[in-house]
Amino acid sequence: MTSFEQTALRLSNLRFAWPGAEPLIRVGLFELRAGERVFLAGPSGSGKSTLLGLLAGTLQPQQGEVLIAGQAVSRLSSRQRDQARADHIGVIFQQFNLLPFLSVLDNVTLACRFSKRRSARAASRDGDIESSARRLLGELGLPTETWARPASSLSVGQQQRVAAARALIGAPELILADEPTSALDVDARGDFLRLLLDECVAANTALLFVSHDRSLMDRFDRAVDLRALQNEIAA
Amino acid sequence: MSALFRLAWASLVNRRFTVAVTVATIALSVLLLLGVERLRIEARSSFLRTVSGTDLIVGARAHPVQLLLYSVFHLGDATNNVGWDSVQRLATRDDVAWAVPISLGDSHRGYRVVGTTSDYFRHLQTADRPLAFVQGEAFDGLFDAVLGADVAAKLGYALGDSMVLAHGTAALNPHQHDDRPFKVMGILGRTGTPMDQSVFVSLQAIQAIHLNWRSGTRIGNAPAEPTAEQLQPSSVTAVFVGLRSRMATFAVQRAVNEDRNEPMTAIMPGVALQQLWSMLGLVERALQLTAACVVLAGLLGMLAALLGTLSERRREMAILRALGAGPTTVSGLLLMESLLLTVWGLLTGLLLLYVLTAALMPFVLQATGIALDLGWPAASEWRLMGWVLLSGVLVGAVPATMAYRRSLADGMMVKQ
Repeated sequence: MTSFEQTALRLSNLRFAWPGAEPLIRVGLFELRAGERVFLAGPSGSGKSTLLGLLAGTLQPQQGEVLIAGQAVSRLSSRQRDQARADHIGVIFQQFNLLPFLSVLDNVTLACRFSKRRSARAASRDGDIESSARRLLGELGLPTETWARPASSLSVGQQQRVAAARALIGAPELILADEPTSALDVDARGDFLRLLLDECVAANTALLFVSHDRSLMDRFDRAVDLRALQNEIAA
Repeated sequence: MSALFRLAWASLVNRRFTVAVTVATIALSVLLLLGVERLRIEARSSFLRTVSGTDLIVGARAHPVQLLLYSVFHLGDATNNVGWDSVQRLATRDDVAWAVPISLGDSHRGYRVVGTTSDYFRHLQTADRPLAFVQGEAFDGLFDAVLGADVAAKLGYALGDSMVLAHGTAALNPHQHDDRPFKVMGILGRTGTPMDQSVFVSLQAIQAIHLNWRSGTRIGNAPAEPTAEQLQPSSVTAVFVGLRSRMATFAVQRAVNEDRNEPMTAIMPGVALQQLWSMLGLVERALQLTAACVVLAGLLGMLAALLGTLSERRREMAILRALGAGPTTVSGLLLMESLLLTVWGLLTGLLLLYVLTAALMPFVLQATGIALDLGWPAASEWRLMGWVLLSGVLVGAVPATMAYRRSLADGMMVKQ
């Protein structure tokens, strides 16, 4: 049994159903240790998006508990859940991650504008949040000349790297990545994944990587099938 | 708050074309609203100061507004005159400081001729300023004339020019007093009142040019050397009266109204002007209402622009939600945008108003006699701007509420 301090995410007896429907999510126990990188596979319709909503706190389970960095977010008010998400979770979507009207740098630092905690962490590591954003963008291989450009002028591959930098800034305990590579070609996919995984290790950030592309699962500490997870409790 | 402001700012700058059109719409509507208000204020104050320094205007028994209309605005004609005896009785009262009779009925190329005494130029005031001559002086000889500013400017008269008065007040008049030409002796400064459109001659001159007239027809030429008796008017149209003490106003007014020798009416010009203005109040209201509707249309334009972006910005909101923004923050962003748009519209509209006022000042003065000024917005204008701002925020609450609901339902995920 891992202690709370070392647990990035812990789900127990989680149950969620959309109104008037059969329960879509039923998870007995699911844990991510601090810094652990887990591949979560599941076909479409298996409830991946719903699960991510529950983890991020935009959805409330009917039953069970969601612990993020030792904090039972499922017991918090919706405002507190929003704050917990800002403080402890970085999110990367499949695409359209960035606000098109902000510069690359502003998109990255935007994550710190909603969280004093992440802002403070970024500042204590790199001096200030701008420097932290620059470091991450540099490490993720984004050319310096693109940093001041509007995010909309970047290629999809570059945009995903900016999204990764934004998820990583201020070293949150958990990153939720929802098929972040599916819009990328094979070469870009490999590069992106390598950089993301390296940065997660460097920041000791746990990563829950949701994808249906099983060819990627070898690069993770652990791979879990959402259906198997669901069946555990049913069994 | 500052993060929200920066986001709203960046988002608006990003949509600068739509934003510019929206701001321009609001600015134009604000310009109209404030312009109407400013003209209304100026027109009202200029109107209420048409006659000042005069305590009473006395004429034959008539409705106060009618008396005001013909004596001050030279609109319409008096149904009756005031006998010279009554004028004398009035002028010799102890509490009366001065009494200036006027005699109307003739015209010069469409401009009214006012027969009066040279005291007219000494005692009458407009906008609390005495009348001033820009050229020449008051009439002295029998056939001298003084011109209002517009008459001199429009007809191109200079001092010493000669002019012929017409019998009656029609603009194109076949009955001319061409046997008795007048000489221009003086030209008055602009007052922005009907005085600018008047020709002033002496009461005796009015008598003189009518000596050879019977029942509206001329018989022969006027006598070359009329006697003093012949030049004594038997009646006048109205009398402007100044009192030694304002306290006596009501007493004198009552004495005139109850005079047993002749039915007369005495009015306080300020009160009658106020009455007349309130009769015009409906027009004022209609103008204000129209302007308010235009502002509403401008703000609805903003609403349409904001609602139009709402669908395409759904992803934007999902991103903000993922970063930890609550639905309140997301709706606050939209509210901030409408606030910014309204404020920009207000400021642009105000700027346009001042630019336009500065540019049009001379023309408005020329055309209407209304002197616009470039001072700070009046209290009523601040109030109107406050209403516009409040309406802007209320209108902005519509997309803000929709964004709140949507972002609550969408969470971080936008359903395709």
